[in-house]
Amino acid sequence: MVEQVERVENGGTSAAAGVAGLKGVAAIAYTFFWPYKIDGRLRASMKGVELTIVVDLIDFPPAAVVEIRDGDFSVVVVEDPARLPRKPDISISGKLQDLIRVMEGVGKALKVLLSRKVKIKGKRKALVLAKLFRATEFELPGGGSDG
Amino acid sequence: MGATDKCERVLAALEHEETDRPPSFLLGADFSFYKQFIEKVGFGHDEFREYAKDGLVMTPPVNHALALELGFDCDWMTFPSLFHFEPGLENHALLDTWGGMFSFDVQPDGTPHQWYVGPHLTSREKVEEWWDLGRPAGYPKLLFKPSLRQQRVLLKKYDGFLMLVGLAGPFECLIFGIGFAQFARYARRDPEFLHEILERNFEVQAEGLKRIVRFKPPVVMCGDDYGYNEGLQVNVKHWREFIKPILGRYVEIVHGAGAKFVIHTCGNVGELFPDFVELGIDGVESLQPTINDLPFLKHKFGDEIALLGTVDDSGLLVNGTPAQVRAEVGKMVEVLGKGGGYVPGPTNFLLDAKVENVVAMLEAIHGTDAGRAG
Repeated sequence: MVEQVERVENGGTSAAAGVAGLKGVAAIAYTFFWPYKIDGRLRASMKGVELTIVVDLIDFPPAAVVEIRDGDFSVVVVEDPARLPRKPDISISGKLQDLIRVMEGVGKALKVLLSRKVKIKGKRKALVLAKLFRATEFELPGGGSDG
Repeated sequence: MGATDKCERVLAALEHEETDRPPSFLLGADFSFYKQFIEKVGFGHDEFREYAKDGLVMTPPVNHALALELGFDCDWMTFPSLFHFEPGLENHALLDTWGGMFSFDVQPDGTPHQWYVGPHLTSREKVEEWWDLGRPAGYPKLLFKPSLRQQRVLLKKYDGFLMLVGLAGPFECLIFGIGFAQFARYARRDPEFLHEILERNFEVQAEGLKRIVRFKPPVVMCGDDYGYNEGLQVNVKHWREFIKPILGRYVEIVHGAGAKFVIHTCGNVGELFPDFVELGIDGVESLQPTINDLPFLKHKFGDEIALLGTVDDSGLLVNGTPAQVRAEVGKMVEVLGKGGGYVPGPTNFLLDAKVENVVAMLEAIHGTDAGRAG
């Protein structure tokens, strides 16, 4: 059974109650994506893109599911990511410590990946996500100004 | 003098030379301020494209793009230490390599928040177990290069915009890990053990600083909060015995590489100014005007040490009007900017300061000619 602890729409005050409960991996994922949403990079570089990303760290439960939908995102906390209603596009699993090593480039990040201490499924989709992090060629949403 | 770019203006101010105007400094801006900035002002389209291309749009509290867009002359980039994880910690906390517990949270209005929870190394046994695990651990080799590459871009492409870079100072590394109660206990009963903790922490920080200065930053600024509003967090005798010698070694590394050393330290820290001067520290940053006697510090130490910050971020910039901000900051520039040695800016990370007040502050700093008065 998928136990949806909280569903959180990003940003804004409308989802205040749910957002305030986020902890652990879900809060870290939310923190990570939030600036991209707020300043328009997410909308600009993920226009028309739909991605479901599962981050499941065995030593830091519960898992988090990030859903990107046409430039917006939400974070969902799940107890059992193996029983999601549909298969995620990208799945990242392993131990938090190893993931931190990969993200920070500690020692031999490639070695950690090759040893499958951190598993990434859906690498092709992950490349789409990577576009977000090198977003340069895009149009700002309406809020952009010269002031 | 007529500075040719922002970096020159900052360096001249730190040298106590007269400049066309005082340079402005942004310590950082948290998530709430970033959101407010986007909603009220926003980036220029072409500028934002360039910032993104140059990797300058970052996660709060460090965000060079924001500092550039607002018109500051310099800002701060402090490198985080390695994070570890211990299963079963309250609040899903993560541990930094000094043993401090941090938690990620989300505020009721949807704004992310990262906060310090408390010390993890609350006994001698825990400290020794920590060391057995190989902690504190050194900085990842790849951590510095991308950020310090930004330094080159900022200097060359953005009118000499200066990024002050640094690491946590000796006091914060220590206190975040062991807490005040253990500090007080070891200081009285087991000073050798306290020295050993400080020494082990310093080994990591010294290595980090040496890596940073290889990139030849003009200014290094380390963060180490020594003060409360009422005075120092630990008594000055203990600060001099345990913290000052290590801080002096930070300064030696940085000066040895030809860079200037600035300390960011919150609270009422006037009592430490003679020590800062003795250590050869080039500037002190934060200096909340409501709790520090800034005219006195300027008069007494202003020829030897530069004053940075000084604009009240939690009162004036939050509750004041733009007119009040302009008037107040204008007065400060007149008094503190005489003869150089002054780099004004908000005293801490911008949280709930009003954007229009920050703009007014910058107008007062940039529009005045008091810095030229000599």
